[in-house]
Parts: sequence; C-alpha cells; structure tokens
Amino acid sequence: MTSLMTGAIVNAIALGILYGLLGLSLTIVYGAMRIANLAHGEMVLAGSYVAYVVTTQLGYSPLAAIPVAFILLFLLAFALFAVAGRRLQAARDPEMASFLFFYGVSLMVASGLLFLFDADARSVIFQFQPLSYRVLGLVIPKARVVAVGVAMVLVPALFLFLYRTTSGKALRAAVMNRDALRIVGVDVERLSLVAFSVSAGIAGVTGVLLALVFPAFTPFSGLDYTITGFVVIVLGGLGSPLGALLGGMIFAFSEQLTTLWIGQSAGVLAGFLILVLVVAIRPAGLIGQAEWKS
Amino acid sequence: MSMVMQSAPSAETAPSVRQRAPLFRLHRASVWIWCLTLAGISLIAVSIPAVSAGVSFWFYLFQWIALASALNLMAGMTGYVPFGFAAFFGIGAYAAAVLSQFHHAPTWAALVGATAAGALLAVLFAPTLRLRGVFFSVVSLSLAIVLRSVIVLLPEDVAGGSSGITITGRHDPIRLYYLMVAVSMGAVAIATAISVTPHGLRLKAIGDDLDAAQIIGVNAKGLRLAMWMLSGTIAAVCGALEGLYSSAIDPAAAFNILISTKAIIYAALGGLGTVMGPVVGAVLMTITDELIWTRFPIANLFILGLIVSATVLFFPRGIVGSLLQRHPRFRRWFF
Amino acid sequence: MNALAQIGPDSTLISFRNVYAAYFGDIHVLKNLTLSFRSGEVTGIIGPNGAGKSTVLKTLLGFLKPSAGDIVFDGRSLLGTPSHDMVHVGVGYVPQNSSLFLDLSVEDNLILGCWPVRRDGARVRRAIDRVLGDFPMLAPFRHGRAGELSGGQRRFLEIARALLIEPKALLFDEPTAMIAPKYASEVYDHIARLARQGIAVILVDQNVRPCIQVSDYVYILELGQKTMEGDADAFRSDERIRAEIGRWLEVSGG
Repeated sequence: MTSLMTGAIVNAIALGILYGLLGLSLTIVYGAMRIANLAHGEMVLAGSYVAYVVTTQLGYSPLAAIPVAFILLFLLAFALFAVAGRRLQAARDPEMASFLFFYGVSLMVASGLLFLFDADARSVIFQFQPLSYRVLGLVIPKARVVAVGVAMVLVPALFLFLYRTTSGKALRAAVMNRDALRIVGVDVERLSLVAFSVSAGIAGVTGVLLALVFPAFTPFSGLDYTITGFVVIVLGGLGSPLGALLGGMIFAFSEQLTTLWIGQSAGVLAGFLILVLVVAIRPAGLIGQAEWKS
Repeated sequence: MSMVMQSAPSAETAPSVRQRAPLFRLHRASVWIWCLTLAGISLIAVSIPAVSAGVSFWFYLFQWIALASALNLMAGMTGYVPFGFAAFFGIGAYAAAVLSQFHHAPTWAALVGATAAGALLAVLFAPTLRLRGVFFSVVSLSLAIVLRSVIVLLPEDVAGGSSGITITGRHDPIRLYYLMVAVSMGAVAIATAISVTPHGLRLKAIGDDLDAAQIIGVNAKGLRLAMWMLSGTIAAVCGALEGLYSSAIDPAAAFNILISTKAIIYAALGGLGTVMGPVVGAVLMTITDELIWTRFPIANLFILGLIVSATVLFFPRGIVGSLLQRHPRFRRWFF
Repeated sequence: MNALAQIGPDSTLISFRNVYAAYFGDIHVLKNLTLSFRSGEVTGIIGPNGAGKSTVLKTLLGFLKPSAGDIVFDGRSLLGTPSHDMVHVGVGYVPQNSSLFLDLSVEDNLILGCWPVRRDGARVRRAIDRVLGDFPMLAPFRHGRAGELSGGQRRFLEIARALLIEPKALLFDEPTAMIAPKYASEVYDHIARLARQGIAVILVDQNVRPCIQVSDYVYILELGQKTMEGDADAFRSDERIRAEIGRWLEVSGG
C-alpha cells in the first residue's frame, strides 16, 4: 500500500512538471497576446509524432527528437502567425477570433496527422540502457526519468528567461498592460511573433517528453492535451508562469491520488472538480491577478 | 508679445465626436418575409418524408439549425461562448434514453423528462455565468467532462455505464424528425422575436458592452440567465431527439465536444448575433459535411478546419455579419 | 543652463501642418490643425470635452494616422513611424491611464523603459541610477512591486521611466487626473522643471488653471479646431479670454 502510494506520488511529480510545462507554453501565449491557442494540444501531439518518427521509425534516441521537434514547430508556428497574427489581433474580439481560428488549425493538424500516420495508436519504442531503475522498491522506467530530467532543466530555464531577461520581462509585462509596452518602445507584433513561435517549439518538446511518459497516442489525442493545458492555466491563474506550474502539479496530484484511491475514471473527474472548486472560490485562479475581461 | 490670436470658429458645427451608428429600423415587411420563409422551409421539411427514402440527412440538418441557433442565443447575444454546450445535449440524450429504456416511458414522456433535465442542468450551472471569457469557456467545458465521468461512474442499471444504452423501445423516426423540425423552427422563432422586439434589442447590447447595458437599464444578469436556460434546454431536447432517433447512445458520443464546437463554428460562420447567420451556417456546413464526408473521409476534417480558419480571418463577423457590415442598407432585410 | 542657451525663437521641435485625422469614415476629430511645439517650453492644450486634445497626442504618436497634413519632428516627417519607434525617435509619453506594469518591480518597470537600448547593460544601469537620483521618492521602493506605490508615486514612476532615454519631447495627457490633489502641484512643478532642462513638453489638461499656470504657450481646441492660441501670460491676464474659458467650462460642466 505504501509503495503504491509512493508510486502515485512519483508519478504525480513527473506528470505535474510535464503538465506545468504544457501550461507554461500556453500561458505565455494567452497572457501576452490574448490568443487562446486551441491548437496547442495538436502542436504537442505533433512533437509526439516527431519522437515516434525519430525513435520507432529511424531508431535514434528520443533526445535527438527534442531539437527536431522544437525547430519544426517553431518554423510552422512562425509561418502560421506571420499569416494570421495581425488579422487575429485586429479582430473585434481577438480572444474569440483566435479561439475559432486555432480550432480550425487543430482540425487541420489532426487530419494531417491522420493522413500521415493512420488512426492507430502509436508509441515511442526505444531501448534505454538500462531499461529501468529501482529506487525505494519502485521500478521507474528510464524513459520517464529522462523525460522528467529534461523538463527539470527546461522549466527553470524558462523561468530564468521570463524573470531575468528584458525580453522575458516584456512578455510578462504584456499580461499586465499591453498598450504600455508600445509606449516604452516594444514592437509588440514582433514580440508576439517570436513568443508564439517559441511557445510552439516548447509545445513540440513537451510532446516528445509526454510520448516518453504516456504509453500511446493517436491523431485525436491533441484535444485532451489542449483541455489539460487550459485547465492547468485557469487553475493557476491566466498569464501567470508560476500559476501554470502550480496548476500542473495540483492537477497531476489530484488525478494520480484519486486514481489510486477510487479508480481510473474518477481520476479524470477529480482534476476538473478541483478546477471548478478553485474558480468558484477564486474566480481569477490561484495566482491570478484580476478577473479577466472577456 | 502677449498677443492672443483667435481663429474664427468655422460655421460648420457638425459634432466631431465618435458616434454610434444609429440602429437601423427593420422593415415590418422584412420580418414578414422572414416568417414566410420559415413557414416555407417548414412546409418543405414536412413533405420530405413523403418524397424521400430516408430522412436522416434532413434530421441532422434541422438538428444543427436548432443547435447553432440555440448556441447563438447565448454566444451571439451575450458574448459568452459555452464550450460545455455538449453537456446539455448529453444530459438530454441520457434523460430520454434512461426514461425510455429503463422506465419504458413513451416518446412524449421521455422528451418532457429530457427538457426538465436540461433546464435543471442550466440552473445547476448558472453560477458559472459569473465568470468571463476563457474562464467561462474552460469551466463550462470542464463541467461537461465532469458530468460525462459521473454518468460513466453510475451503476450500469441506472445510466448504462461506459458502454452506453441501446434503446430497444419503438420511437417512430418520422415523428422524431417532425419534432426536430419543430424544435429548430422554435429556436429560430425565439431568436427572431428577440431581434425584432425592443426588449431583445436591449439584450443584444449586453453582448457589446456590459457597462453600457447597465447604463441603459438592462438587467444583464437576469437576461443572461434567461438566454442560458433557453439555449441549454433547446440543446437538451435536441440531444433527446437524436438519442431516440439513433437508438444508441454512449458517453463519448453524447458528450462529444464536437457538438459544442460544431455549433459554435456553424453559428460563427453564418454570423454570431444575427438571426439568419446560424441558419445559413448550419445549412451550408451540413451540406458541405455531407458532400465531403462521403467522398474524402480524411479530408473532411481538414476542409472543416480550413473553412473555420479562413472564415475567422476573412469574414470575422460571419457570412451574414460581414454582408451587413459592408452593405448596411441590407440591415433592413437581413438580421 | 546649456539647454537654455540654445532656446531661441527658432526652437520649434514639433509642428503639425494642416493635420486632419478621423477615427473612421469622414467624421474628422482633428480639422486642419496647425500647431507648433518648442524645445524648452511647456505647451498647454486645453479645451472642452471632445475637443480632440488627446487625439492630438495620439496622432503625434502614430496611434492614429492623419488623413491629410504632415507632422514634422526635428526637421523630418513623423508619418509612417510606427508608434513603438517613437521612444527611439525621442518622443516620450505619459498617458492618462496607468502605463505601468503593476506586478513588476519598480526597477523592472524602469528596465523596460530602457527597451530601445536594452543591449547596452551599462547604459541601462546608469540611466536607472540617474532617474532614481532625480526622483528620490521612488528609490526606497526600487525592488517593491509597482502596484504597491501610491497614485502620485506611480505617476512619478511613469515620468521617471519616460526620462530614461532622454527624450527631446515629452507628452502628458491629464497627468493629474487620477491622483491625489496634494501630489498634483508636485507633478506640475516637475513638468515645469523638464521644460527648463530643454525638453519640449506638451501638456493636455482638463484643469485649465494649473495648465495655464505651468505653460509657456497655450492652444485652445474646440471640436477639433484651434480657436485660440498665444503666450500663457496673455491667458493669465486677459479678462476676455478668461470669460471665454469660463463659457466652455460651463458647457462641458468642468
């Protein structure tokens, strides 16, 4: 029983940091640009498929898939935003417009993946040496250790960027007062373009890491990632990087512990119930600054 | 040098401040023409079973008109986009299926039960209306997922569990089809009533500007709640009819988020906030769906996505909305 | 004192030449406006509500494109310069509503104020130390959140931030509208000091009396047109003008 408990906690920490990463890339875009990227999950999923091609089909290490996924998704997002960004932000209701636009994009990406890889579930097959570690009586697959290890490097790096560099500060500032950024001389459109592309690149890397943790994925898994991402950032407070990390942890813990105590289907339920409760008590999320205007 | 020059104020004194475009008065004739059009559509719809072998296509056409119009009552009029709209559809389908299969209720009783369930759910979810924007959308979506999970967790003899319910009782499909036509025309009629009465016009103001609504004395909260109840209940009835019509329901299909998103997309494509928009959008997209789906199953999703994205970029107000924006004189005839 | 010496009769830094501007369609908010703003002077713009005072600033900053006419800054046209480049050109702006990033620290707000020169770390540090020296009331809060400052302190932080990269012109839109009266006179004193340092200050203000008090030259706008202009002295003394101002003060209920 105790070892099951320890296992659930280890799982929760691993998933929590990955969910946090998922939320982090989403919140940068939502907070700074008021763009609700409903295709975020598909970008993550595309990263998973990159990992699938690099490992299962080509036989390289999943670590090699990380830069490939980042660059590929960075470029795709760059092109997409260059075409659509300006029009979306000029819309009467940018949030709504981007919601719908990216829903269309998500359908296109999902059907593209369906066309390339069929509807069957795929998984990343790679023989790590050793295959797993034994810690505290638990068997932990090395794939999971690698995924969490990369996330543990990536998350602090992102926080350093957001809190220590001028560009990172500008991105956080955009959440607070977008008009004022222009006054201090920031080319908000260029900042948005770069931020969106970087966010997509991180989503791709997250996809590689998730593919190492989750057993399988299909072209339709994207929506689940999107929903998880949004739940995580709403839980933590839109636009708050720390909130995204906290939200990811809470969501993962509630999911894992409820699964352990009650069962698989209750696990899904718990995360969403917690979201509803948190928002009922604190409408702006845990670390949210103010109630968001629609 | 303390001279002060005074330039003569020009004779023209047209106010140069920003003004709101005056509301175009609808012609009474245009309302009549629209009502006649609806009557004509109903007439054609009623005669379909006599001339066509299957009513399936038509059933779903009217289902989407109803769902898109119901969603528009909420999203178009108040600016609240409920991504958990599928919850109402699902609860309606389940209420009807459970009543019919486990309690042997006749069609009418199953439908009454579904209507009640939809209204009850709307009351239950009403507190989410305090939220705004993405918060509202995500929480409403989460509630739909919670509801689905709860139904899966219930014992199999209460709600069928994860494998769903197969309805073995007889429900005349033609009658269900007629009922769906009636529901969709009812939804459109409600939207029309809202758009041509002064009360409805004030409601529309909420969507544009909350503060303004307060100033002109609209009870924003009450009206929003009313729209929420209406659109939720209509969706529940649609779900019930669809459940009985297809005679098999399961949690994944009944609470499919595509029901929410398709309703949003169809309404937005036609033009959120207009009466005709959701009808136009639903008709166009159901036909496109049917044409592409049978020929290119994979391309279907891609083309659906392409249409959505392109519409947002190039017709941000939808087909009807963009038409009205470019040619304001049509406001007398299209609304 | 050096700056003062340069100010001669030809110290015009910014000029509006027959500028028309509209928000949409042909409803012009500015009509055939010709204005000039000189270095080392505070130029006040007053007028009733809806006169287009703030629009003058927005047009100058490129938020609104003029439909006709030209805006010249330091000898070259500003038309086509994107608004985010204005800081770089040398035009600072303190808008009516808060332009601070309230959840960032005071120092981070200042760091973002150095955006155009962000690659030059030494210069950024020097600039921040300099303005914190000029605004000693901000120094104790350097590492605190900007949101914790009082209304008056926030306004000074905005002014300090605008001064970081030494603007040639500084635009104020209702600088005292949102702050406690006890800070208002301090803000006006500071605005006067900026002009003495050689900056061309443009002051749009609803509060006619203090605006005329601090200004060197005054424009009155009504319905997007210039109705009066002249040295501030004349506005202070001339009974006829005071009556005129009183008239539209009544009209606008100000």
